[in-house]
Amino acid sequence: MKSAIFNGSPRGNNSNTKILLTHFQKGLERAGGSVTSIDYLIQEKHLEEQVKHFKEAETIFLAFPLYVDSMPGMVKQFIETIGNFDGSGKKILFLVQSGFPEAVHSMEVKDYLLLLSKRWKMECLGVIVKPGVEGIKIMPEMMTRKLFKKMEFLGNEFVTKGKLDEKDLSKLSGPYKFSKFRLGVFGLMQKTGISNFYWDKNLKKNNAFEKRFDAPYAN
Amino acid sequence: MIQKITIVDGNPDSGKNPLNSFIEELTLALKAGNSHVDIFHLSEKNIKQCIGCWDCWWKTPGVCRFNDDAPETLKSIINSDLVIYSSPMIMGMYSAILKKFHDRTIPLVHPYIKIVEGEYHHKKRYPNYPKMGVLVEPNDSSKEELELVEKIFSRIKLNFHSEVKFFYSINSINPKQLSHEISHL
Repeated sequence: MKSAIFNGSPRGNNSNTKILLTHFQKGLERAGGSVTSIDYLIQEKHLEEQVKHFKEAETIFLAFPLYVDSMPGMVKQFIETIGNFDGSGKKILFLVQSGFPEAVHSMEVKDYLLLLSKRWKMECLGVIVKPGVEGIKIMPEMMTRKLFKKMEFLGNEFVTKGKLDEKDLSKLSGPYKFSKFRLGVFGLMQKTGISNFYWDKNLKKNNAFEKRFDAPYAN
Repeated sequence: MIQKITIVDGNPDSGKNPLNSFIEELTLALKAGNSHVDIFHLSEKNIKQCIGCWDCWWKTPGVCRFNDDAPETLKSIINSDLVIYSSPMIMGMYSAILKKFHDRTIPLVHPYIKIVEGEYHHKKRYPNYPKMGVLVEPNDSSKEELELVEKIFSRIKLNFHSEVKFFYSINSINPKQLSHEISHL
């Protein structure tokens, strides 16, 4: 199975999307699949080549982070550039990763991607939804290792089964919304301020902590 | 009561077409009703893609690193009672230029999280947020695609502490009717 990868993260080479894709690719290649191209959509100067790779690909893997309840604007731009392309016979796979920790935020864009596959007349092999990814830079290694293994597993399954199992996808995406108990725990973390730790650490590092509630555009 | 209105026009085509005529007539009708209307045609603006650096959350709170045309639009929105987003449907979604602009709205909220309707959402940065209205030109979109876009806006409103007051296809209402409806919000 030959795949062309399109990384739709505005952070490009430094993206969490890239980290997840790398592990997926590892599993894919171990199972005998191959990646024919990896394009970073943020590099707009390569648009012509990106479109060519897209139109020639046997299997397309489009991955991006959730931005304001949908795909980043630059990914929408790419979709518009491709337009109502007839991709009959081609297959497509998606990854939507979000900073928000629950899957509920990504459900609409997932549905959009399914409709988009229909527009392109492509067979959709799955939409991988992975919430809570922004944390991977501060997660303990044990947790990231587990996540990377899961991505590798999906890469492998993609080649061996020719599609992704809904059960494995829902295991990866976790709960749609959190339980009352988990929300209660978050409430406690909020009271103690622990839930803001990541933000506060960076605000302080940038000498911006005192300004964190600034509202510069208020009249 | 709705006094100040910001229209964010996401039509990439600035020529003569039904959506542009609708927005033009709507603006006139609203002004005739004594509303203050600011209109931003995104096709004429320079709006860079958000690069996810989070400077607006943890370096210069509330302010983006890019000093292009987005900040003046944000300033107008946050000081309005109503923001109207308008766009043609392109490939089953609102336009890329409107989406790029939406990506740039995150300086309006705070990085801290709170629970809203049992979900994680960002806290307010400002005491008040405008109500939202959406106008789309359906073009070749299916019923499913239109419904989905409406759903996406009902998620956007959760993150922006707002409510969607209307979602219309320009084929289902005329500018005068809409202006009248807005005056009763």
